Amino acid sequence: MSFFYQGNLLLAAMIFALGAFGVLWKQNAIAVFLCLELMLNACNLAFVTLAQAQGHPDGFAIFIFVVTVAAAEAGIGLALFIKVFHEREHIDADRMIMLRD
Amino acid sequence: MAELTYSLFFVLALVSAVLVVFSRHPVHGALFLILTMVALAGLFILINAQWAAVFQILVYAGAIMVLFLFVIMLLNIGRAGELPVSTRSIRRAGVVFGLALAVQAAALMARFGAEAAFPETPPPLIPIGRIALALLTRYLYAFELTSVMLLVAVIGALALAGRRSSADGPPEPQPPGGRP
Amino acid sequence: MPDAPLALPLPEDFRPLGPAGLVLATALALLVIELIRPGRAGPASRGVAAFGLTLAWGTLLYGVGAPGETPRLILYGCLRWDGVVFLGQNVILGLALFFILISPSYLEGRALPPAEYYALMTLAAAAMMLLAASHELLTLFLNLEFVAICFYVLAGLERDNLRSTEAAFKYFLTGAYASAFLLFGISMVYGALGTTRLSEIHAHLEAGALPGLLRHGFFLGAGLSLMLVGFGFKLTLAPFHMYAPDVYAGAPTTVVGFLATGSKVATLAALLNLFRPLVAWADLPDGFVVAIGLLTVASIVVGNVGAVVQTHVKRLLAYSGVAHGGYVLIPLWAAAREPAHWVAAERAVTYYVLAYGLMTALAFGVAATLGPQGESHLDRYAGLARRSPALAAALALALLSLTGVPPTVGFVGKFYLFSVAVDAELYALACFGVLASVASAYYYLKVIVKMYMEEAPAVRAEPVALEGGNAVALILCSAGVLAFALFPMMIVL
Repeated sequence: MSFFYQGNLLLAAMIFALGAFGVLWKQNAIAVFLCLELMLNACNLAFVTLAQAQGHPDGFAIFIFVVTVAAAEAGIGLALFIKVFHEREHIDADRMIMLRD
Repeated sequence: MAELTYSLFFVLALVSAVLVVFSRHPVHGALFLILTMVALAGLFILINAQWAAVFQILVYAGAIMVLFLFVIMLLNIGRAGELPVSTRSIRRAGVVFGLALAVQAAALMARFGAEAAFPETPPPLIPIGRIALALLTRYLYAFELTSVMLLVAVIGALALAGRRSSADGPPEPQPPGGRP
Repeated sequence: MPDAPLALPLPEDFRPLGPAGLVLATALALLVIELIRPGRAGPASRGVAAFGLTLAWGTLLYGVGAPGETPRLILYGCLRWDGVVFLGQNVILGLALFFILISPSYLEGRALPPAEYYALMTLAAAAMMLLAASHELLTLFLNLEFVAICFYVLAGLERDNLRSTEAAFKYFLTGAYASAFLLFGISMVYGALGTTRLSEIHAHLEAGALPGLLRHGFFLGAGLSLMLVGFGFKLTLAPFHMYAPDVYAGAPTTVVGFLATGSKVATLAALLNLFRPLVAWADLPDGFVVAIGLLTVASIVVGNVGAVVQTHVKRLLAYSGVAHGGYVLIPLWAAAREPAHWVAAERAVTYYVLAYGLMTALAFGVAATLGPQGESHLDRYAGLARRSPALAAALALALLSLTGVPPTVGFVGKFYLFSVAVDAELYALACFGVLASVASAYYYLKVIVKMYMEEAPAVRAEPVALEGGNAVALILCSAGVLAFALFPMMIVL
C-alpha cells in the first residue's frame, strides 16, 4: 500500500498546480479565492500524508493550524470582497476616487 | 479492495478539483470544492489518519465552505465579482508558462516519489492524545498565537464589512487631537 | 522524532517575549477603550499607542537588554533570541512609533476609523517583532500570516474609497497566493527532514543526512525553492513584485509605509534565520543558488528601470523597495555560494535592515505628512523647499540616503553589502550593484531637483503645518539616518 502515500503526494502536487493555475486564470474574484483554497487543501494533504507516513504528530498539528489560518483568511478575504462589492454598487461616481489621478 | 477505493477517491478528488477551476459559476465552484474536500477526507481515512478526516469535514468543509456559500448566495454574486480589466492581460500572459511549470513539477514528483521510503503496511492511527500533546508542548506558541489571530480576523472582518452605527452617510472626520 | 516531555516553559523563556507581549497588550487596550467609549476614542488612541510602544521599547532595551553571545531558543525551539532579533525588534518598535506619531495629521479628513487603525498598527508591530524571532517553520508561517492579516485589514480600512479597497483586495489575493507557495514548500521540507524546527534542520543539514521520508534531494530543493517564491512575494522581489506599485499607490500612506519598512525588516530577519541552516548544507543544490542570483539581479534591474519612469511618489518608492530588496540579497547569494562568508553576510544584512527601515520610513513619513498634497503625483512636490523647508530637507535626506550618498545610512549599508560581494570575489556583482546605485540617482535626485529648483504652482503655495508629534518623529528619523551612518559601530553585533 505504499503507493497510497506516493499517490497522495502526487495528487497534492497536481491539485496545487491546478489551484495555482486557477488563481491566474479565473476572472471572477470569488473563483480566484476558491482556487486559493484548493492550493491550501493540497498543502494539507501533503502534511497529513507525510505525518502519517513518518508516524509523528507534527504534520497533524500543522494541518490543524493551517485550517485555522485558512479560516481567518477566508473571513478577512470575504469581508474585503463584501466591501468591494458594496462600494462598487453604492458609491457615487463623483465621490469615488478616480483610478488615475 | 482498498486499492479500488483509493483509486475511486483519487479520481474523485482530481476531477472535482478540475471542476472547481473550470466551472462557470462561483456557486458551482464552491460546491465542487466541498466535494474535493470530502474526497480528500476519504483519502485521509484510507491512510489511517481518521482525526484529520474528521477535522477536515467538520471545520473546513463544514464551517469555512459554508461561510463561503453564505457570502456567495447572500450577495448573489454572479458576474459581480469581475476583477478590474487591467489585470486580465497580465494574468493570461503568465498562465501558459505557469501551467507548463506545474505539469513538469507533477511529473518530477511522480518520478522521484518512487524512491522515497514509504511504509508498506498502513501505520497505526496516531492517538489523539499524542496530537494534543504536540499542540500543547512543541506547538504551544502556535496554539496561543492562533487565538490572537482569530481575534484579529474577527475585528478585521467587522471593521471592513460591518455596518456603521449611524445609519446615515459617512462619519464626520475626527477633529485633530487637542483643539487650539 | 520523540515527543517533547510534558514540561512547561521556564519563566525566563518569557522574558524576551515581554516587549512583544506589551505591544500586544497595548493593542488590546486600544480595542477596550473603543469598546468603552465608542467613536470618541480618536485622539486618545494615538497617545495610548505611543505610550505602549515606548514602554515596550524601554522594556526591550533595559528590562530584557541585549542578548549575550550565545543565541537562545525559547518555547521548544520555536523562537530564537539573539543579536539579530534584538536589533530587528528595536527597529520595528522605532518604525511603529514613527508611523503612529505621523498618523494623526494623515487620518484627519479621511474616513479611517481611528481605534481600529491604531489597534491594528500596534498589532502588526507585535506580529513583526515575533516574526523576526521565528525559528521554526510553522511559527514562521503563522507569524507571516499574522502580519499579513493585519495589513490586509489596514490596507482596506478606509471607507468609501473604492480604489483603496480594490488595492487591498489585490494585496490580499497576492499575499494568500504567496502563503500557499510558502506552505507547500514547508511541507516538502518537512517531508525531507522529518522536522520543522530550524535548530534540528541545521543539525541534519550539517551532518548531510536527510532523515525524512522524501530522501531524494529533489524534494528538499523543490521545497526550498517554493519557500523562496513565498518570500519573494513578501519582500517584493522581482518577478513577484508586481502587486506592489498598485497596492502602495492605493492603500493609505502610513499603512504602506509601515508595510514597506516594518514587514520587510521582520521578513528579512526571518529569512536570515532560514538561511543559517541552509548555508551549512554542503549539498545545497546549484539550482537554488542560481535562483537566488536570478532574484537578486532581476530585482535590481526591475526596481531601477521601473522607478525611472514613475511619476507617482508611492509607486516610485515601491520600485525603490524592489531594487533595495535586490541589493540586500547580494550578501545572501554570496553566502549561499560560499558558506565561509555567512558571518559577514549576516552582519551586512542586519545593518541594512536598520538602514533601509530608517530611510524608507523617512520618505514615506514625509509623503504621509504632506497628505493629499504629497502622496500622489510628483508634480505636487514642485517648489516644496519654499513652502516647507523642513519637509523638503527631510525628504531630500531620505532620497540621498536611498541613493547611497555619504554620510547617510544608505551609503554605509550599501558599502557593507557590496564589500561582502567583493570578499566573495563576486566582483561583477559588486560593480553591478554600484552602477545600479549610481543609475538610481536619476530618479531620486529628480525629486530633489523638483523640490528645490522648480516653482510651486500658485494655487498650491500654502505652507504645510507640522503638528508636534509629527515633527518630533521626522526629526528623530532624520537624525537616525545620519547618526547611524556616523557611528555604525553602535550596532555591531
